[in-house]
Amino acid sequence: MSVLEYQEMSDEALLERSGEEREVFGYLIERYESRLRRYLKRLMPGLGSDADDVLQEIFIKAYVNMRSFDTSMSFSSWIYRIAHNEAVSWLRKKKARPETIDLGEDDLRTFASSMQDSLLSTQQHYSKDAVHRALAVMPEKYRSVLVLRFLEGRSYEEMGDILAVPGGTVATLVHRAKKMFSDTYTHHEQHS
Amino acid sequence: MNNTPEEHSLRDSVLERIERDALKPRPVWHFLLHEWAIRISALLALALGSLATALTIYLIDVHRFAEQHTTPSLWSAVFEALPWVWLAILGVALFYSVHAFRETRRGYRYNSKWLVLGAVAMSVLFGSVLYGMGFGAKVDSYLLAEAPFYQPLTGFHHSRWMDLDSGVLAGTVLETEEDTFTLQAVSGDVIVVRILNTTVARPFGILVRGAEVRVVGAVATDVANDMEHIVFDALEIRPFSGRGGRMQERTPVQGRRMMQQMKEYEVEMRTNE
Repeated sequence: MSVLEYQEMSDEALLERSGEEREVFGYLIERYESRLRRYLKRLMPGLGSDADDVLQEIFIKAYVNMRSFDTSMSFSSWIYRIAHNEAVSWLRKKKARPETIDLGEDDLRTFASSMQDSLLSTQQHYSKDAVHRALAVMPEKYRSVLVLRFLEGRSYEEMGDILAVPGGTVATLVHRAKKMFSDTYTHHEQHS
Repeated sequence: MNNTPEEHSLRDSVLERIERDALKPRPVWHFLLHEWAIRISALLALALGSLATALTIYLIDVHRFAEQHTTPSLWSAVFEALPWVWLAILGVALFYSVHAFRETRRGYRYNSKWLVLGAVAMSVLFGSVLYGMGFGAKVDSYLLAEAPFYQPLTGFHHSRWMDLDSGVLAGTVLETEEDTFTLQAVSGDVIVVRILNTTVARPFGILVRGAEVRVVGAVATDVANDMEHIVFDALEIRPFSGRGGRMQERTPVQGRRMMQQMKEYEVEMRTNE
């Protein structure tokens, strides 16, 4: 098959093919490397030079466990789940908690505008510093929910597959995470 | 692949590591085995939960009769009637089955609340069926006879049924007459039991020679009682098998074994006194 044909194949088809041809797995790595790197950076900005190691571990796990892939979910959700678990494991191992999370201008705009019905979306001017600090102090569970929902643009169903929780629980988590963020943001804004 | 060399690096390093470490995708059977091991363990836990439910229903049922006559208050009767051991086993079995089900490939999609409710409903349903089939009585009788550690755990006290002051006694029917029968209590005393117009005997035909029965009533006050001639007025008569369950649940071997155990217990109690 030509390179073009491989590039046009779906993620799931590529994964199936990777079992016989190891090189095909390279196309999946190329497709997801930047997306996963960005996700990891949003989730744990202190990753720094460890990012490559964590990413390598994610793809190795995906390769070794490719036959456990559940076709009732998308490959994207599946690899994000592996990435999420790896990130959580890394955070626990390092016991690292960032003091601030620098989202960058684009991410910050996306985040502020997509946080519907929250304090942030109704404000004309918001404090970047307070947003960064508020995100940093939130528990990992709630920060993941905000990142997946408002930065990665994931649906509740996809989030359920990534976080391995029921759809109803995702809705509850999003609601709680938004409230927690608003409270924390207000606190940091008043003190900045 | 139209990527920059920098973007290639992760791809190359992953593929190189796969080759260097001779990594291979784990076979499908590995995951299937894992999945089925979890599913089967969840089902076994549910089966154990159902059995615990059957035992719980059975023990509450048979205690209901005993406790209302031998315990001082309603609360102590309720407390003693609850088979805590089986309830604890039921709780652990339910917890494990829900936890295991959530560990299956798609188990995370189900709400824990519904999983718990489902597990409880299945345990109650299958437990009731097992109880109806007599499994509760059979397992209980078997454990009472064969497992020495079981009896103390279930709070079953033989001595309760040899307490004339509390108005209860148990023994073997020696002779039956029209309005009386003689009973050899497990203490060895021969007691004349009077059948009153109000006496309830369940099931019908229980009073036959050799039958092991429990009697609830009171020592007669209108006759002179001494240690050799005790007359007891019966209010209620029931078979004594195992814990005094239903007649059809009794087998001769279990009945004799129980009576032997009760006699041994009485001797032990007297020796201790």
